[in-house]
Amino acid sequence: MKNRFENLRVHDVPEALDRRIMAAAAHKAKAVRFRRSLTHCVFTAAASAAALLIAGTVFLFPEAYHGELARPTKSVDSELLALADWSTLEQESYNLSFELYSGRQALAELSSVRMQEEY
Amino acid sequence: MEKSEVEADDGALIAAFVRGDERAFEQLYGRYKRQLYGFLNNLIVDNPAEVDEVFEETWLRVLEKLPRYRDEGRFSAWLFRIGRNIFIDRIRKNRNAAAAMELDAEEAPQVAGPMSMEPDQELELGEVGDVIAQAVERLPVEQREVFLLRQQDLAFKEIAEIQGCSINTVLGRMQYAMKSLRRLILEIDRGGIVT
Repeated sequence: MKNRFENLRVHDVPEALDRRIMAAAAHKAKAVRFRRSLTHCVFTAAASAAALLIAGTVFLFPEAYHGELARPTKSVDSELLALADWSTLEQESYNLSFELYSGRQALAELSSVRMQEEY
Repeated sequence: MEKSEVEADDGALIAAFVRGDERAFEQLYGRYKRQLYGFLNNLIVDNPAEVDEVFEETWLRVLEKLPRYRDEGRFSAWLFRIGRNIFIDRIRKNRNAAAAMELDAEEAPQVAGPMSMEPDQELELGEVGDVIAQAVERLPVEQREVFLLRQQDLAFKEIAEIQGCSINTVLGRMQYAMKSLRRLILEIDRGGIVT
């Protein structure tokens, strides 16, 4: 028989008790790991959102940008207008050219007719 | 392993468990489970079901409190304090059963109440260890606590913190316990029971 005096210091624990306590510990450890993962995800998402917000503020809102976007100057404006009127000028030029050509053509025809008459 | 090394190792295991490592708890549990069970087995006399319940509740309380544990002395002292407090709370809840148990250790040494005494039981004589164990069972609760906690190598200062009293009170209880044990051992050896 085991000396009962030894049991004053230590005593074997029933296995069923061991299992229940270890199951509780496993459950607790799992809850801790889940909480840590969730906290990590929340912080990562918050950091990403903050970074996006800063980037968006810098690039999407012009007021936040130190420099100014290029705006057309008055001379550029008039040049642009000139370009818009250019098609009309070009058309007139073409018309004049056509008329000029037509006149030469007409003269050429007349010349040929006259030459034929002389013959 | 030196005591300070054990404490540092306990701290590392606790820190690992708080991070979610259940194997760290398994090591910590394996290190102290037999001591705690032995302590409770001798503190709670002749009630194995109660011993199991207090033991389980102690470790569940430890699991709950470990994240807030702040290296306040040795882990073993903290563990025994929790176990002892749970036991005392249960006694207070079951006042009728506790009425037979002596809680005031300042009185003259007395034998433990009817819960631990079975006059018709034939006492086992023979090995000194068995006799001492029987004598311990008959001590008043608080003297028994002090004696058993000393068996777990706890310092008197730590025992005073566990029992919530001064170190002088603890020393007094230990002195009374030793006096009682000497008397009880002689009585048991002679075949009588002190009432």
